[in-house]
Amino acid sequence: MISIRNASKRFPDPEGGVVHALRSVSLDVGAREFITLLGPSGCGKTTLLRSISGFEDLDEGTIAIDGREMTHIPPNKRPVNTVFQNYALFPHLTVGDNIGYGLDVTGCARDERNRRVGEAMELVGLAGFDRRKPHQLSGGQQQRVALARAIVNRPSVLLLDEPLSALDRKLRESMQLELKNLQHELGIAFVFVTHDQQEALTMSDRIVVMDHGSVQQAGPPTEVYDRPASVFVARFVGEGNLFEGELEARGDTLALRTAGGTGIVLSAAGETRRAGPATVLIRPEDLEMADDDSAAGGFASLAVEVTQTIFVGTDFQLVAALADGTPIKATIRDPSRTLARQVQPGAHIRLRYRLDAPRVLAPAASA
Amino acid sequence: MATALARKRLRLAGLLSPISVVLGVFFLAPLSILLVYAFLEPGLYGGVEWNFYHHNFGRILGWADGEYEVFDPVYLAIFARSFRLALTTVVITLLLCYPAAMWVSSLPDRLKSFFLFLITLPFFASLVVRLFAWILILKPTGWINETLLALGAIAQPFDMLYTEGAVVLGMVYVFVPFMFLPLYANLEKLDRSLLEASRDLGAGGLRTFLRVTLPLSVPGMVGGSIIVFIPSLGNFIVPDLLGGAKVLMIGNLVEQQFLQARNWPFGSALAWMVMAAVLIFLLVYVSVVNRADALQER
Repeated sequence: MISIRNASKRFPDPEGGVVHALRSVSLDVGAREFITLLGPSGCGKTTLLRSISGFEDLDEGTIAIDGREMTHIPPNKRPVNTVFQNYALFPHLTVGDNIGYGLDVTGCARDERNRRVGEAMELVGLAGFDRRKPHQLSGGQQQRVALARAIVNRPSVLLLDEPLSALDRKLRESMQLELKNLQHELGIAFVFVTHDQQEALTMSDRIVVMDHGSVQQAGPPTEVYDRPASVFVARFVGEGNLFEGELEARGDTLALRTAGGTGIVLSAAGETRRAGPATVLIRPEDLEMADDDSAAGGFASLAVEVTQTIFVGTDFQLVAALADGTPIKATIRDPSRTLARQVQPGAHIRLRYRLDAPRVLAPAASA
Repeated sequence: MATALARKRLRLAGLLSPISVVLGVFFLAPLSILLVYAFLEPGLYGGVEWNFYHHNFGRILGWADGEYEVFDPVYLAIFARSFRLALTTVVITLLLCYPAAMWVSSLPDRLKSFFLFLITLPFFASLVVRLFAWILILKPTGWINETLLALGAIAQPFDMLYTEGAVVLGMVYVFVPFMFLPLYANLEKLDRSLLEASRDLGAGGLRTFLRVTLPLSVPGMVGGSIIVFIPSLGNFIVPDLLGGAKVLMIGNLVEQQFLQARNWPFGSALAWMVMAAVLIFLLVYVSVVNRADALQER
């Protein structure tokens, strides 16, 4: 559907230097795929989106959409439509005329145009609002107008530039589901830009994590979360405890020795890196309280001193420190509230994890 | 509640009284004097006779044929010319400034301030000096005519000075910044993402301009037009210097009545006619613009 090859883009920065917004990015988007470009601000995700819509002209590389070469085609001649971050609704036009704008431009017949505008409004739940002006609508409604205005043209690909960032949390969460359902219904590709990892995990078929203008990792949400390709991805997607040290192989298991002397044991299965400097990731939810010192089969445990327990609704966030002072976070499901009663700051406990839970990553220094 | 309201009123009065006093004493009061004078009989040697007298307006509009006052259509003709020249000035400044304002508003911030400075640069030199410079350029022995004569392009010098064209040229020259600034202020705050949205929806550059930029810049065009139209209509110095005795405008007429003919009542009547005309014209203009706006909303 979209095929991007070696896309590069440089901008001059205010101090006279050069910013590499895109460094030889290659990416394919499938016909019915919901793909998310995820990364911190300045990582190049918006530049990549704007290269697809045609608002940025690539310095190098090519973009093809629907098998047609689009690299230097202006935005008005591309079969894509965009939902802009601030919605960019025309303030002087009614909701109906906003949505019908693209159809008016292509000279769509009046009946057909009105029918399709009506359908689009129905689809986004705005039926009956066609005479209103954008400023008479709430943020969520404006968002829906922007969505309807884009999809009414039946683009091959819908581009969404952080469209939910201006909404409050409740509305954002319901819009996430709606967008996902809408994408199914329409059967077209969505390219969604966000800096919110939770949003990316919730909605995407595939997440493309970007940093400094290049793709750090691209894969399904579970893969990006469970098997991050780098320390950067591990830090950016989800929460994680990262331990740096020297790795050594011990038969079926690997052991990481940190500078502070802590040893972290993990299963060697599936790990390619087996020795030398490395970083090990343990997700907070992979840690649980161990009843006694003896590590059961398939588990390893760490002695920690509790610093703080925070109740966050479903779970407790346990903040603790290893013997060498390294902080460690654990998310613990505690329906019986034992934790709340028994574990106070200063308590010495053991946290255990399954041997196959930790992940070995390249050392952080290279990121 | 009552005290809060009273305090609010007191604050408002404090903020507004200085300007109210200045405008009241030096604008509204003289204007009222003018209004009274407009209905008084002119004295034989200047000054006024305290009799109610409507022939000042009759001279202009057509019912005076007394002993001294006769209806003369030349006054209406001068009104008509003033409107025509002022409107021409508005249209030309609008056409000159719109593309320039669009361009400047699209520049990076540092360049914007530089071009804004350039636009206001003429204010640093005296208006009279700048208009005299135009006389030197336009007169029969000015450098345009001299150059054309030397090149053999013309046999006789053009009459450029003391024509309506010269007056319009002078007014355009003087009022360009007044049109530019409101247009620029309007176009500068135009949300660029709207232009991108239009392009994204398939519209080319021209259609984006006609359907997005132009309708959204109507307030700037209206503001600029009003700010240029009013001083153009009553302008006195440009037609005086570049129009001479041949191209009189209302401003010159009023000046003549007060300073040369010493007919203050007639001058007052003329001044009030200008004001009334401007007011009516603006009311019609604004209501038409609002109507068009409402039509767009449907």
